[in-house]
Amino acid sequence: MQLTSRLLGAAAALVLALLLAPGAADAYPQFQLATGNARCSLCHISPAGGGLLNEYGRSESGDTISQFGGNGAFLYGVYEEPSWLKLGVDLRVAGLAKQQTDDPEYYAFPMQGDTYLYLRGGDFSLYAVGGPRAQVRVPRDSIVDRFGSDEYWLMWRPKTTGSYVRAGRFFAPFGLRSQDHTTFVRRYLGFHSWEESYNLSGGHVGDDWEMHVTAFTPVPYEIMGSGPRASGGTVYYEKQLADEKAIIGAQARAAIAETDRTYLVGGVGKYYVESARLLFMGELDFQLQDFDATGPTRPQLATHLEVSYWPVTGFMLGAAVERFDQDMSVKDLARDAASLSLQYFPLAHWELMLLGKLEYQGGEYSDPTPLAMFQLHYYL
Amino acid sequence: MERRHAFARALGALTLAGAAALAGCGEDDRPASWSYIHAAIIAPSCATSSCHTQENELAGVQLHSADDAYSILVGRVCDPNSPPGQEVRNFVAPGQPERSHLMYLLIGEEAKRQMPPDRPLPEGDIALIERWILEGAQCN
Repeated sequence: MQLTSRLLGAAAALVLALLLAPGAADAYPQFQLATGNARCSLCHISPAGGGLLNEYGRSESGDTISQFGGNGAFLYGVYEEPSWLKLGVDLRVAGLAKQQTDDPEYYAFPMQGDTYLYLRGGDFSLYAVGGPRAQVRVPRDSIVDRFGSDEYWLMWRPKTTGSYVRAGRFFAPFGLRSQDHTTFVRRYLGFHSWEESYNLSGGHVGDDWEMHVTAFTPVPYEIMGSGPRASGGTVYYEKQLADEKAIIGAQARAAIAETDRTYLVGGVGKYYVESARLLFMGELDFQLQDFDATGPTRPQLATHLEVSYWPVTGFMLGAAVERFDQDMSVKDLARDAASLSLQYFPLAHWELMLLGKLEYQGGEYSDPTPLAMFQLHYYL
Repeated sequence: MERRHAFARALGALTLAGAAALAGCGEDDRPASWSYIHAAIIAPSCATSSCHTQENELAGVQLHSADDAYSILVGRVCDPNSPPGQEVRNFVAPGQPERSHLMYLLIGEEAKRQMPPDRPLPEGDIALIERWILEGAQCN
């Protein structure tokens, strides 16, 4: 009976995955260090973290992250995948309230309905995600019109540690890699939803350090995605410190587009205070945008500072402040935000998220834009 | 050698950027030209994945290309030799920001919804667009 109900639930989830809407599934950067795992790739198939979980990551989702545990395996272990195959489904619905003008706005929408496929043969593997892209506001286009894939790649990787080469569509390993595509370090630096580029990426993941180098170019047709249509390269280096309780990273990027060139240098850091169950993390980037003859070169700044607290297993409380200054040479063009969040992981496969955020435009701190959001996430 | 100079310039400018962040900011002397406004404001703020891209084209509006965005906003083609890829519409009355629907959308007054709906533009960006309209909304 229990087996039948689980299989029925799984079948329903697969159908829903094809009917609901999308967004790349990303990981919580807070889980690095705080769960006792020092590298993102310990739990994720991707060498840079994010997306489909490996077997160890699935077991951690029940054993370490969820309040009441549970079997985090695909289909709860009812179907055991062969060693060359991994499957996954992400489903997410959301509710949103915000007040940008006098009239508050309310939305309820399917946010994600992605299906994952990972095939491995020897040292090579293939990864693909597909699903309809999300549309918050109505009227929404049909599921067929919105269907697409923002991540697919081929990888050579003999072992989960060591060197690898990856080619395809994905986000270059860079920055904190937050699950929230609206954070300023993602939204304004070319890592917003459906802004994944075509990349040739290689790197090395060691026991206490990792480095990723990526050459990127935009997707060939604008209908496949959005964001800056730039080509260039990124470098990301990360080192573990303090007995796997801290990491520090440095990064750089150059991007050349028809209308502008951008040069970025920055860094990330995380520090976990185990005794207090507090994790501090941050990212700071300086970018220079050169418009050629179109306009003056503008220096930009993007930053994200966040502290996360686990009062008990299964609950993660967060507080964050952010800033993006699109042109530091001009007064009052910066955006700021402050947010509080709660993530609740009752059982493996389930997540509930609440977010409250105030955003400020151009130094107008007396008139913030408030936003409240709810998400329910289920994965197979 | 040229690449090394470009890298040195970038490093120097980033240093200046850091200094500017610490020292404070200046007045807005950005050009009120369409090419700058599109690249610096319209494309990054409006042509995002769920909005006015070629894929989503919300409200029938695409803003990812400077020429197409100009056509649809101003109601005339930017380059007579390059016909617009979408229906020409009219959100801007050149020389008359008070009669331009675009301004009301950006300010969020007398419009169904303020644009962009995820995050409004800073007043400085709206003022630059207003200045561009006031100066004739040229495709420059």
